[in-house]
Amino acid sequence: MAEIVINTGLHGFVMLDSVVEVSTSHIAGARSFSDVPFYIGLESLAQLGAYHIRYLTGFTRHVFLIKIIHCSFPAGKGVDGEYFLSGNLLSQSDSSFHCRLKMEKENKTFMEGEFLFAAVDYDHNFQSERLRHHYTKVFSCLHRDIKPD
Amino acid sequence: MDTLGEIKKIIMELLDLEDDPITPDTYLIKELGAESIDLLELAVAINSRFKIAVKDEDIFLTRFRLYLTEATQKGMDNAPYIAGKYPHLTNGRIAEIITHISEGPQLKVKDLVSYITNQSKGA
Repeated sequence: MAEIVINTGLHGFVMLDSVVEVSTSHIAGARSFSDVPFYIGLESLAQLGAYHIRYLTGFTRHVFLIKIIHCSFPAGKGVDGEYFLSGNLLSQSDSSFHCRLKMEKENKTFMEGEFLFAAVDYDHNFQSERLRHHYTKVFSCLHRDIKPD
Repeated sequence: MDTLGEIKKIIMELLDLEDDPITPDTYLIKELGAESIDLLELAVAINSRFKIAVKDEDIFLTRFRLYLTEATQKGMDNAPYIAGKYPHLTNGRIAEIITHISEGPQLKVKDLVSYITNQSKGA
């Protein structure tokens, strides 16, 4: 089987440092950036939202971003420094979840948008025994403010 | 605005339709070209607007063909078996779908209205 190598230039793919609050309707976390392009911030927001949906579904389903319905951020600006990230669940069906996600720095909104996530049952492509354990472990580390591997 | 009017408004906004080609008998997928991603967005919009629990497989009739196969395998009549799975559909509508199932996706706007009405009663 051919191997696909993806090099993001980053040290890891978990774009969150911590999850500080989580409930059925809300999640909040933090991330420190070192002058990275805006899309890295967007990825952090998407990861926070996806972890919220995994939390809501008890880590029993595979969750992925379907669509950024809209998102606003300052044109031409990179992301640098400590940011507070938060998300609220706006509406849901049993398979889709509509969230508002926001990134703030020093109490000022930097990036804000509405995101649509989907949850599907694990299958042979998204294997439960591997992914469920992985996401549960990462979330547990983030929630305790311990950096994952 | 009634349920049909609200649904039409949501669909037109989601699919970026300028005219109003939607009637209760409009096919959502065959005529309006709704794709699976549109249906996911429609599901959350319906939850938000009508404050009802939405089960995607039920509102969009995604397992209809599978249920027909199940009924055959179990030696049961198709229509009553399907009626048990989709309580929001009338017997007439179920018969209509079974008749035309080979012609492609049968989901109509009125099926969404029926689902919402049925779920609202139970809410």
